[in-house]
Amino acid sequence: MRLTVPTTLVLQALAQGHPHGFDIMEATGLPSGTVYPILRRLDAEGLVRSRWERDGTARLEQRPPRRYYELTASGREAAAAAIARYRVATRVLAAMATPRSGT
Amino acid sequence: MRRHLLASLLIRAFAPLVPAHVRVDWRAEWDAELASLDDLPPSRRRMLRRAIGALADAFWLRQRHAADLDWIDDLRYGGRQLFQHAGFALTAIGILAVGLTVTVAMFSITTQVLLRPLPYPDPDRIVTVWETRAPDETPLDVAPGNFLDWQARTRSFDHLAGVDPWSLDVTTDSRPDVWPAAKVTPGFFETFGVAPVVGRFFEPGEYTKGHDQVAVITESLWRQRFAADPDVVGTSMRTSDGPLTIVGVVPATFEPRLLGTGTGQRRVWLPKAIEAYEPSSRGRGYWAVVGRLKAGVVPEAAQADLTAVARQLGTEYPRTNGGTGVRVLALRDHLVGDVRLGLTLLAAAVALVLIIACVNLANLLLARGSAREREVAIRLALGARRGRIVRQLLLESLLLAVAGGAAGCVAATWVLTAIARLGPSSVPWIESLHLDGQAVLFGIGVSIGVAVCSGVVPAWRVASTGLAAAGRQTSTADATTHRLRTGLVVAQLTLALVLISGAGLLMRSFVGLLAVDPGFARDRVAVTQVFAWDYNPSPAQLAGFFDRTLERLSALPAVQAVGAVSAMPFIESNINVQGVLTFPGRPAATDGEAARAYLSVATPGYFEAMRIPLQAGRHLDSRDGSSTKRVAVITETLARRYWAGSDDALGDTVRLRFSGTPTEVEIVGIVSSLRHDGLDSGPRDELFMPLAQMPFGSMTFVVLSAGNASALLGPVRDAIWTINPAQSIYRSATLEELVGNTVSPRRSALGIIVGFALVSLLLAVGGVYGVLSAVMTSRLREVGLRIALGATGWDIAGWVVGRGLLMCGLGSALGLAGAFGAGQLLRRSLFQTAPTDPVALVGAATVMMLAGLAACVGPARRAAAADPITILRAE
Repeated sequence: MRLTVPTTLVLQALAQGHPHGFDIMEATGLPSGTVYPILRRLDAEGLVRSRWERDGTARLEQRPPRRYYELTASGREAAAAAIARYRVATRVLAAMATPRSGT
Repeated sequence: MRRHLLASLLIRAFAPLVPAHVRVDWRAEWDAELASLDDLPPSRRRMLRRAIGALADAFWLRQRHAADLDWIDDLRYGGRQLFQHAGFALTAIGILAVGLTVTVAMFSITTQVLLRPLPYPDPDRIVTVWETRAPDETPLDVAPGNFLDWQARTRSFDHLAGVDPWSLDVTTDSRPDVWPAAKVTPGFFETFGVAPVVGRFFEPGEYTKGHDQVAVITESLWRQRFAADPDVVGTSMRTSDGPLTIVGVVPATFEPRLLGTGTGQRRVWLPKAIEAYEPSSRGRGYWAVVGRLKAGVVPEAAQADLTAVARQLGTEYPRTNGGTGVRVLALRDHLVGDVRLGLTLLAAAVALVLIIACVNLANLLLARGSAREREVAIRLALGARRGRIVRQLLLESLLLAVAGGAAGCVAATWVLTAIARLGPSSVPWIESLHLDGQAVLFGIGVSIGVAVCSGVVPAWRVASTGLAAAGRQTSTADATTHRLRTGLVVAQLTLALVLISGAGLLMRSFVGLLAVDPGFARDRVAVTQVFAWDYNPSPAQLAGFFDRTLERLSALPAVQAVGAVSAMPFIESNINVQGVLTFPGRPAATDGEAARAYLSVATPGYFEAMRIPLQAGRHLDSRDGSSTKRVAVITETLARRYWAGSDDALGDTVRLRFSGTPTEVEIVGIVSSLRHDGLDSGPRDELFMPLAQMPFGSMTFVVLSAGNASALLGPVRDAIWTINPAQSIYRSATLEELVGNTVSPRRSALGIIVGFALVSLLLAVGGVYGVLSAVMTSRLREVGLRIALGATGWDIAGWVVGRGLLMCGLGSALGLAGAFGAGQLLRRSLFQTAPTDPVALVGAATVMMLAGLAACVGPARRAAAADPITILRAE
């Protein structure tokens, strides 16, 4: 697969445990029009898988259930490889490593 | 929530862009994401920017899933099209279902009858062996003497066993019952390699007189009569052969069908103890012979082996075995050989119907296609690829195929059930016909094949429609389509005519067959056959039994005449006695040219009850007693064969020899000749002697009723039982049933072919109607012009009808040429009808022209009633 910078960012964000679309956008600073197609593509290629949040959790927080994404085994490998290849990206990621606010 | 209201409106607006199958999830995900922003403090602008990102997501998904979606879209679109044009869809499905029904049924019959694996180990090694008598090659039943020599002198068989047809009178409940049975020689069960369900088969010691009071019963008898009780082994049955001990049960799968099944399937198997006279019995045979070839021996080798033995026997016993040969037939060929020709014809008819259905469907799709030219042109103009449109149209054909195939399979189950119940019992395993998975798969395959074959040309034609068609009402493309459709209709008419003329030929034969005079009148006659030897061993007792029974029968209400005869026409299991005639005063004939005649014993009432016309002299009557001069009545054909004429034969004396000492009889009457084996068999040379002068135990009572013969069958049986309650009844039927049974295979064949012919006629004529309607619709303008220029309604109607008849005429002409060829295939099934019989062929063409004319009526009337002003204004 083609590992663009944004793809690498999304992989890294997922590896760090940012589980859903807007969270990833917050983490990477990428616009939604970029993050979503990347997620779709990674999903189609088997690097991420998605699951729906349980109804109960969502109801407790009074919002609709979210779709969560996580890396698959090959996704984690791809993430590691991408991070190694994009030193620049890792620096950017290190710089933006801010404390996470609630999920 | 309020903050993201606008955003969620945007999401809702973008949603239709997302492919339908992921749309719900897509909306849920975006709604959830926007909702999660409530927790953060984003600006309204940021919110909107994110929502607009959803548009990119939607486009991305749309593009990504476009490829998979085509099929689903096409399917859905196709389904909608078919739903909206339900008339078209139902017609197409109906056509396909008709074609599929016959094909799937035929396939099932082929796999379950012709190719059915035999339920025995190494079935290819099991053969049947028959005699042939020169010059005829027909396999005949085997004489016991010949079988014993074959068995002793051949080296090709592990086992070679003889089967002697037998019947047992078994007293069950209160009335005597007759069970078809067979006596078998050692090695019979071993030949088939079957194992008993319970008990055992016969031991070597049991094949001798005195030790042979044992029986093996069939599984069906065991279940019906003995409730499948495993303790049946060792129980005793009371039969006309004395008490028989049941030693085993043979499985239901064991049905060798070696002997005629006219009287039902064998229920009991007995060990055969060879009678003293049998080793020298080499005349007309009555046994069946079956053998298991040694491993590695092919049937041809066994045939050579046996032929050599037959040749030896021919030199050793020239009188009986001079022209006797042997015929080895694999068991499978024996079982299905007779029906193979019929099934081949059936397969040909099925193929024709399937092709007609295929062509018809193609035609229908063409018609549908030309009606969709505008739609297709618009889609092309909007950028659809031609391949995509062809695929779309083929997919629609496929939808039709699936529906038609399913309907055909359902109908095939009904057809198979009907065949299993009503079909001729001479076809083995017919009673277990059913639709199996293999047939369903085949049906699906064929329907897809049909859909593709009949869909390709119309789809390609439609897809090659020019863009210009979008704005056009009529076009030259229409004319081409019409020509193509006309050609297809003519092809259908041609094939249909082949089937119709086949049906015509069979119908002509059948009518001719029914019109054959068998020499007797078949209506109002009840027939009851008894074997009376067992209870009346002496001639005096026999005479007494028949006298008293006949007297009682004549006292029954509504009885007009009663008689009895030894060899009843059209009944199976007659004892047909042939004797040699010599004529005192004429030079003796050599052995090979001896005059022969069938000898029948009759009571005087027989001729009256059967209404056999007297040609000269008198019938047998009450004057002919046991002490008066021996007399006989002969048939016309016999009189003509050995005398110059009936006057010449009357009063003449002949010497008869059939067993024991010859008898001299005076010919006192000449009657019409009778046919015995079938309406299509020749009349017999027959000589009747009075029962009073020639006591005989195997007789058939013939009772002429004033009204319904079948109502008499019960009273006749009861009358016989009042004379002797233990007397078993071998056969009880009306004479019409007996004659009907012999023509029933022809009747079923005729029914099937007529059915096929009607279906194909209907399909083909439907095609004529369809094309004429389409031509009229697309040429309305021309019609309008013609009317405006002074043509009358009749002119217009004539123009349409002329076009329709031209198609039918072309189809008929081509079809007749085909029928000449196909008639040859039928030759063997025809009775006194030439394959080129003009009445049948012209009749078939006439039927087709009339049906075609009927198809023209609708379109012609519509065209004639067209209003020129409306038409021309619409342009």
